Amino acid sequence: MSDAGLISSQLINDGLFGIIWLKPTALFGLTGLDPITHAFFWSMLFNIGSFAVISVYGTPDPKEIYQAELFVDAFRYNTTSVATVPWRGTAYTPDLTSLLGNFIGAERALNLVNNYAHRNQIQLEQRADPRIVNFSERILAGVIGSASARIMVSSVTKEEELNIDEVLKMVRESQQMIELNKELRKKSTELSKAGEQLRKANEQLKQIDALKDEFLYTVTHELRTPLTSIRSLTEILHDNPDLQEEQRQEFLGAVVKETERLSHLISQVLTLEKYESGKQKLQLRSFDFRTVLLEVLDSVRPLAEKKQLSFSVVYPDSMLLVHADQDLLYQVVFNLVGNAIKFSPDQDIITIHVVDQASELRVAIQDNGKGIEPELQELIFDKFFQARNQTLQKPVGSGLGLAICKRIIEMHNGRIWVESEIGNGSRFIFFLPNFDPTDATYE
Amino acid sequence: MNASAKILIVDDDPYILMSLEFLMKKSGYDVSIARNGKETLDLLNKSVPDLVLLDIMMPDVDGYAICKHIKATKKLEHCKVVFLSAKSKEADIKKGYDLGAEMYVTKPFSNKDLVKKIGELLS
Repeated sequence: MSDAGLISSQLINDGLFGIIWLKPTALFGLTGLDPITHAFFWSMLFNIGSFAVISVYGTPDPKEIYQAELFVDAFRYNTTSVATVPWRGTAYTPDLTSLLGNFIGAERALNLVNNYAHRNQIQLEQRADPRIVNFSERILAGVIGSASARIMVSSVTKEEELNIDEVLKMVRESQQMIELNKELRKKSTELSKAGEQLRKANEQLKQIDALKDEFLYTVTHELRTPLTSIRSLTEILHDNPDLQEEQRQEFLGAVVKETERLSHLISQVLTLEKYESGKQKLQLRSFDFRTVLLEVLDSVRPLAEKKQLSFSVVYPDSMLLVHADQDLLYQVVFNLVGNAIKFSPDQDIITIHVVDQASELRVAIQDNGKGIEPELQELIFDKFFQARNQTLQKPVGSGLGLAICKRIIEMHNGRIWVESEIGNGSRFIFFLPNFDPTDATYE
Repeated sequence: MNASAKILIVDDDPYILMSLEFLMKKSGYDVSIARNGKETLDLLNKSVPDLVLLDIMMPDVDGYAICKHIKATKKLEHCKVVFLSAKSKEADIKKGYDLGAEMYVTKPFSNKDLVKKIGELLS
């Protein structure tokens, strides 16, 4: 091997430049190894040594740090998540923050990035740390979807190429967006429809509210009238102890009457309120209508006798079976007969006619009072109508009787109206449909 | 106070009339009574009262119309009008004063206050 190749035997025997330490077969005096092992030993020593020195003194690339971290923490990451795929390219911090700024606002983007950098002790340099890139992507993913976020971030990252999977993901995502958008549009038409309905309901409520206000005002007005005489008369009684006994009795009697009127009015108002708000449920049962009619006639007899009135009552011999709320129906008949008595001239006849027709019961109550003008015939069923529109002497009553009758008959799916001519009396008629058990409107 | 002043009381409620009649007579006035608009206008044609105590809500002619009539009638120019009504909305009261009424008293009223106010108006 002495003269082999280009290396002279002198170099092998005396070392490089004649220096014994640089003898190739015994470098730095290391002997006893065959030339291959010897060369391998020194080559490895030199390489490892250089690597160690450079590693210790050199500054690592942020990308390397990130990849090293990912490598070390491999099990902590979900490998299927796009966000964990390390960024291979180079991005610039201002590009990233301005990109984020487009979606979440410039100031917020800057704050978020700064905070993140601070928390993770990342130097914010012109060239973005991969963790910053990753962080930006995660933020964007929350706003526009992860695939789109990746595309967006890659647009500001150099050297980063998109692969087909990513593009497909983005397409899928935008498809979902379109679907979502469609759904939103549908929802919004539904919403605007609902809004329209709400608006209408609100209008109705306003009307009802106005009616309630009007009703309340009328009620308070009606309550004030008896209250006025009660107050004034009791003050007189109080201030005049020397009043004559006769006058004293007269005033006290008036106070009692007005107190009765007041409490009657209040209970009528409450009754009507109960019917109108739907709080009153019908207690339906089957009974013979003739019993109701006879009960009413019994209880009004004293009133009728006072005016020397008589009744002509015509009804079939057979049972008049109705399915209704007996107490409420009694109220209706009592009210109508009571009105007939009130408006009849003395010594007159009140006619009551009951006919059982195929599908309904027809009841007519006729008086010979002064009659009701045609244009008022519907209005008299309004609350407090009589109080405002009677001629001459004001009659006794709450002004709610007919309103209550109408409400009760309507609750039974019936009808009530008046037929009248001035000078020829009035005939109040109501129909009560025969009970149909299949009718769901009965509760 | 002019003790012989003539007062016309207009109200459709018999018990209010009862107490007002007593009160005014006791205060020494010359009292007449009307139960509705028609009776009122008839009485106003016959004699001229110094003051009319006027209800508003009446079956035939309302109190406002009567007040208008009084204020528009030359013969009745010295007749004072005091509305006495359960209508207590501000708009109702304003309407009363706009028609030229001297006073508007809401029901229920205090006897003493009413007598005092009428006394002041007639003095």
